[in-house]
Amino acid sequence: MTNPENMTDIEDLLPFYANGRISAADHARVEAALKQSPELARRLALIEEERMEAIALNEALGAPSSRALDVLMAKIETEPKQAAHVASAVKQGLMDRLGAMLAALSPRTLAYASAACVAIIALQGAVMTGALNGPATAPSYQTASAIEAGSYALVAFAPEAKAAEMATALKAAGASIVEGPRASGLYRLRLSSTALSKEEIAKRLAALRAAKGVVISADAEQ
Amino acid sequence: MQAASDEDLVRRIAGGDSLAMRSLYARHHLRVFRFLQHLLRDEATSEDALSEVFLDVWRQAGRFEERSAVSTWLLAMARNKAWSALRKRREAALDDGVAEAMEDEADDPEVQIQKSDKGAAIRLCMEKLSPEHREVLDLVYYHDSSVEEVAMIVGIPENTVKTRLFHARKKLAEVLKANGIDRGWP
Repeated sequence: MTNPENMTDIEDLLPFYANGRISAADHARVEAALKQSPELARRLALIEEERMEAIALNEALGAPSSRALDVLMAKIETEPKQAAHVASAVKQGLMDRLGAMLAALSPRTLAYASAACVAIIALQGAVMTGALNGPATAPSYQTASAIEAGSYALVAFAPEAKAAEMATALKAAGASIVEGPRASGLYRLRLSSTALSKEEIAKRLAALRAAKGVVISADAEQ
Repeated sequence: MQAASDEDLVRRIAGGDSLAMRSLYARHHLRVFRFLQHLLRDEATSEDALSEVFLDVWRQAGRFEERSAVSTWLLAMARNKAWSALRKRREAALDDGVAEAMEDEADDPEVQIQKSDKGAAIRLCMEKLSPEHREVLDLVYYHDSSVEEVAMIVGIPENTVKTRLFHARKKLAEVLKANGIDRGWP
């Protein structure tokens, strides 16, 4: 027999029994209670009546005009292209993410990044060509240190830094971007193609740091 | 040929596909609009809110984590827009020194006229409920939402969903009774 406490519990479930959004277990409980209690069945009939009128009320509301869609599509047209793309990057593949990242860069930054990529590809090409075409007796590989000869630094630019200001800071330090931005936002700079003394590296880094509002941090690559 | 799921469309929208946006809009705009209009009671404001909801879909599609159905996500965004507009409207009314008119439950001439048509009387009385009560009745009765979905859309615990629904129904019964329609509950 259904006790009053269970009755309240079951009655709370009736609207969801009526709309079919109830678990199988609760559905079975309600079915069993309905068989036992004519009063519960009467209350379910009231809920069915309310549900029918709520549907009728909504159906009578009509549809929006085409203006709503027109306004929406017009707004979408003016949205920054990268907004949706960058937001979705987490769900996309590496190439998509790279594309979104590049799309978010300023033209000048993109130019630096592109130049760095071209340099890296050319360097890789040269290494591979050398490895394939070199004399049979020559070593078929080079050590990383041979390729990476020189002095490098890792730099973070201020987000609001202008390309011209960045170029001035790089020129003052005699540096050029060879990689970046990395995931951390850092750029890798080549200070010199030869190994510099500690004092010279410190001097170059000081020149970069002197660009207040442009360079946030500058450190020698270890 | 199988139609793309809502989740597929959202993924495509995240990639900047405006055609997928139109498809999702075609699928859901009517129900979202009716939900908005039932809360806002103004067609133009509801249309504006509808555009904003789908604009948010465009902007946030990449962050949709598929923890809920797309329809639940849309209704949750619609609810936020509607309540934001309602709050502004209330503030404006207070600024103008206009107190919100309290609906008189008893002897509503419209309901009196509809006494012979119980269905019409129920619909009229549903319109007289507070937005809090209207939205929960709408979600369960028209949008066929589950307890969990109502909790997600309205932002309340699941037990509160049941309590609020009970009070909405009780209030509806009281308004009907005050107008001479006693359904013998509660």
